Amino acid sequence: MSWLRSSPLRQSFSRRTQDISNTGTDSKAVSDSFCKHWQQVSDIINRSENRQTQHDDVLAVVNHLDHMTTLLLVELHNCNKIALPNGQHPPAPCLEFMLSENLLDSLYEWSLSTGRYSNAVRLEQLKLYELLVSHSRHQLLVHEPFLRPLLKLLASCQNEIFPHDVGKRLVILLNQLCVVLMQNVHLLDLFFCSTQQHGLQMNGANQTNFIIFSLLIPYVHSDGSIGHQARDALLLCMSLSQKNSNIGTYIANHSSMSPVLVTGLCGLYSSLPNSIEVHSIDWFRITADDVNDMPELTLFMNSLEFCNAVVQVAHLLIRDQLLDFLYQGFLVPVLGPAVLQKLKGSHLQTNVESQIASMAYLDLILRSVTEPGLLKIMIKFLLDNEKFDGERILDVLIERINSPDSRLCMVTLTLFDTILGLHNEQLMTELILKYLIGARHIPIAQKHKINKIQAYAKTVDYLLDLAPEVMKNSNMILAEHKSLDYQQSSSASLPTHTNIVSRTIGANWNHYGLHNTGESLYSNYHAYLYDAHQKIKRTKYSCDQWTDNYFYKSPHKQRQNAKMPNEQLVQIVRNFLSEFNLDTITTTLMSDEPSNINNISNSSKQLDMDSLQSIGESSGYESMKYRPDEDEEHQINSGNDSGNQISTNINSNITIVKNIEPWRISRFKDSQLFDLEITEDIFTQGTVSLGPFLTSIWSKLQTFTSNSLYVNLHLTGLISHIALYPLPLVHSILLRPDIPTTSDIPSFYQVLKILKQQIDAELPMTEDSLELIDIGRTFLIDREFKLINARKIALEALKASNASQLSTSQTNTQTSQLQTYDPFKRQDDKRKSSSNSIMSIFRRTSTTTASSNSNNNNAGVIGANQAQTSGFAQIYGLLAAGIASLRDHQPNSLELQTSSINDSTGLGANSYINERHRDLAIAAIILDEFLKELSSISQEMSIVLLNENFKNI
Amino acid sequence: MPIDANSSDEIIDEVLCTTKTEYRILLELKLISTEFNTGSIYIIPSKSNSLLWNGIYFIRSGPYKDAILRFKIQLETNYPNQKTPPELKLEFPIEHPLISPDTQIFDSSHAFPTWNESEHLYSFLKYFKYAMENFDFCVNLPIEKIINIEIAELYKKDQKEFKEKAKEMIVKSVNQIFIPTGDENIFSYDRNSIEEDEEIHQSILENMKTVADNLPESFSFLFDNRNRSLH
Repeated sequence: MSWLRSSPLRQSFSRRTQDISNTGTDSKAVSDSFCKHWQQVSDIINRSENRQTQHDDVLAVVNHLDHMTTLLLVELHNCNKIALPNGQHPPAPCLEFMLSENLLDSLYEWSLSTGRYSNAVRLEQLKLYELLVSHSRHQLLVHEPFLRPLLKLLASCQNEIFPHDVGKRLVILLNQLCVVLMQNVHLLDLFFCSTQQHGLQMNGANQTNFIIFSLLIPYVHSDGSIGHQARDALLLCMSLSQKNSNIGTYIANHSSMSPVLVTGLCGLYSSLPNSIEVHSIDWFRITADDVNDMPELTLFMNSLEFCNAVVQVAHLLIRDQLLDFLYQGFLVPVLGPAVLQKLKGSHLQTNVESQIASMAYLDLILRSVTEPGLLKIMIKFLLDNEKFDGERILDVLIERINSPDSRLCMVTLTLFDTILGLHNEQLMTELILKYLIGARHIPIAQKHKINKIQAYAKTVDYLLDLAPEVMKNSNMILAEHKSLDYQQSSSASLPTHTNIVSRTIGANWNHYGLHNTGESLYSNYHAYLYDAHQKIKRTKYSCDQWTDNYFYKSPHKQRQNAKMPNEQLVQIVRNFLSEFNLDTITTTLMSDEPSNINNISNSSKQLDMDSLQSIGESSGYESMKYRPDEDEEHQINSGNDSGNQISTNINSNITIVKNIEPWRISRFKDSQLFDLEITEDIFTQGTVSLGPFLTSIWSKLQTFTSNSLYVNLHLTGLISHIALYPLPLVHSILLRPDIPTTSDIPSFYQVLKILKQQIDAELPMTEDSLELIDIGRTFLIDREFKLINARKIALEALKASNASQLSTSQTNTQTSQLQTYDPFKRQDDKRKSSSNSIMSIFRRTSTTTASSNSNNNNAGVIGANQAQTSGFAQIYGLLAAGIASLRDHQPNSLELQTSSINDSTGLGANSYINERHRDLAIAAIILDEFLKELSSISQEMSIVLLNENFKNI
Repeated sequence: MPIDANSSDEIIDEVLCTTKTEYRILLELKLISTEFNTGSIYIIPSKSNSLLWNGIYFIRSGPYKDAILRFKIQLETNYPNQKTPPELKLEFPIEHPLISPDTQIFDSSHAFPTWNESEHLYSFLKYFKYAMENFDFCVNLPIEKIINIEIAELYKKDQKEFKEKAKEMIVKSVNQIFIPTGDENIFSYDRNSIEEDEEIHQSILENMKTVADNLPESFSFLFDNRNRSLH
């Protein structure tokens, strides 16, 4: 409303507000003037009955209408200021005159005869209605002289193609009408069955019509602010559909909403570039800035966002219809073949570029979809094994992890990172849990260990010991030289750049008391712990909503839940056991130092193997569990403070219990389950599959030393992400070196051990190796700061551009469109994945100058977000996009980097620095950091999961 | 550049030991918070030093039933690898066969002649609780294990006088806990609020949980007192 601000009338406004008693005389003058203007318009209209409308006529009418509009506005403004005690509105003579004389209708009728000027007149009318609808406190819509011409006008707009300015006005008016209807749902019917009521011919048919809605639909895929407003208005209609089911039924049954949306989405997807122009070697995912950069992608994302919003607010009927259309009309016929690279059933010529593009689009879609219903069909899409000739999208994605093309591999790893970030039970089950439930990958004798959380704490030593020797020594040397300023040494090697950029990331870590401002997070173990703490907390919050906690449960117990076993038989077995073994147990116990009940059961279990086996086989029971009765357990639990109670409660077969000192009895019996899964195939040794997902990841990990740095960053990040799930079964293969596995592939620790041996052998502990490590470390730390600073520069540029924007034109549609666009906003806290927030900090510089609101927000929360970025993979890896903008000014690739360091340190191109060694050095550093990340996760887990299994006892 | 494998181990160990101690303490705290019934023993680490714990014990049975004792536990810096059990010192001079009348230190050597990392502090505290509530158990221990022989003799010989003495101590102990102390993380009470017994236990428990949950972020003693980075 800037024109209002600049209007000379402003002064009279303020005068009026000061002197409210004068309104009487003033409003008289206003209404007189209004009538005079109308008189002149009326003359022109009357004149036009006899002759064709002239240019001058139209111009004069428009001019008068402008004045009338202003006068009306003055009047409405005054009216709105005054509140009469009886709740009545103050008199509004202009308005009353307008309604009583049926001005609007005359105007409309005249407009039909304006021929080639009709659009100009229509524009004026639309403006007038918009003003009245948005500014009047009066319920104008209930007045026939207002509503009738309005509906006529709207009806005349159907099936018309307007110039941009008229279309824009129309959409604004429709938007305003929707706002009013939201507040006054009872008025809705006026716009509903309008065809019959008003006897107007619309669309050539006399069907039910919600005219506002049908007028908006053509604008749904529009570009720019007009599209935004149309979509806003449509969303308001959708929300209306929840209040009024007539609307819902109409939209679902009589409007073309869902098909239009979905076909539009398909069209926009098809127009996306087949290959994405990648700016840097470490590019791995589409960022919000990329979206703004690519007009086709902006349009597609707008539409997708809109679908997301519709599903969120619309009536159930519309929602289900749209979801169905999306699945059948977009995901299956368009997105699926794009991802699979298939055309009409046959594979396209394998084109890595378009594979990368389709994977990146899929990743973007998965990250942008927030609505549970929409997410559900996305998941269904990933898991559907009927629609794609028996191929399952998820399986195809898994295959691509091992693609020889490192970019495809990176995009795939990122996509899986997104998938894991969804914390979806079904997906986790399909990817990992399905293969681990029942713990067939663990030898029978070891299974009871799975849920023993306290053992996690010991993982740390084991993992850290797997660090390459050269790293251990290099770290030691670094620690020794601590007194020498670390920053100086690293900046000395890169004097030109480090002077410009200030290192500020450490500022947020001061609570550790460890870091001066500007220090790298490299090798900061406490930062890893903090990071693990935060991420596990978030992950656990999501997983707590799952249907199961996926702790290891013995098959016996699961069966017991389904069907109670023959109690009598169990009793027989138990008696047999007690008779047979009482003496042995007693002696075992006496000779041992007093321990807890678990040990007793443990020893008895081992002794009874043979006897039970025969019983088990003859009785047909596949497994037997030997443990005290449930009742006894409860008594132990309740009587945990008294040793006497226990000795009496436990029945004769383990009377020895009283020898256990009362203070050593825990309320929780950590391992109550002792399975004797007799018929379990002991020959499964070495043949149990961990599933294709883990197998792919392992095999990628096996080639660690020859993978590219960026692949390794994403790979290790993905493995850490898996470990963050609070699932002991998953940890049994990642964080439990004390549990051997019998899988068909080398265990995780075996792989890590091999990597260590490989690096130790090829990068022996020599001065040269240490030098290489130093160079690699400098490179990585330098990269870290570049990423941070890239973001900082972007934010500064943004500030500057915002300031200049304020001083320049405010009606720049291009800018306003960009400002409202934010495909990554998520209302749902739970789904605010860390990678998302990280990505929003580190969007590329090149486009942030164009600015977006979300960037502004990020500037405010950047401190908070940085706290989430400490995972080294993120610092060095996920932030990769940020570096692209610097590539023109600074050497980016590893080769250039190392050689420039060599030059500056005077090492020259010495023969020992060959490529393999340089890659190995980087791999060694990454492995070292990865091990720290994993150990910190295991330490945090040891606390978080403790007694989690007994939560409901 | 000299390369010495041994010193590298030391440095890694130093970093590891501190974090491992921290996490062990967290584990012990979490175990304690779940092992004890509501209304018996509560523990909270001191604000400035997480190796020093403040505790409070509401005695629910035995001759000292209804007494409320504040105590401190001091862990050694190499916990859990210390050779002897942690030192538990009572803030109030209660007389007990296993508590030194001079130092008010509880003697746990009968149950814990040594200490190693497989021991848990909850069992140490359970032993303390057991000993406080079972005088018969204490007075029948071998004579060299009894620290306060006087009170043991009195208990055995003159139940009436013992009971009177115990009653006096119970009242005194309850009064003692209203005296505020310096540490921020200590249990001190408002006389009015102590009446609402159930609520107070609930709020203490909540408080313990919050403290334990937030410890990794605010573990002050290790993070703040170290002036050097890891490497």
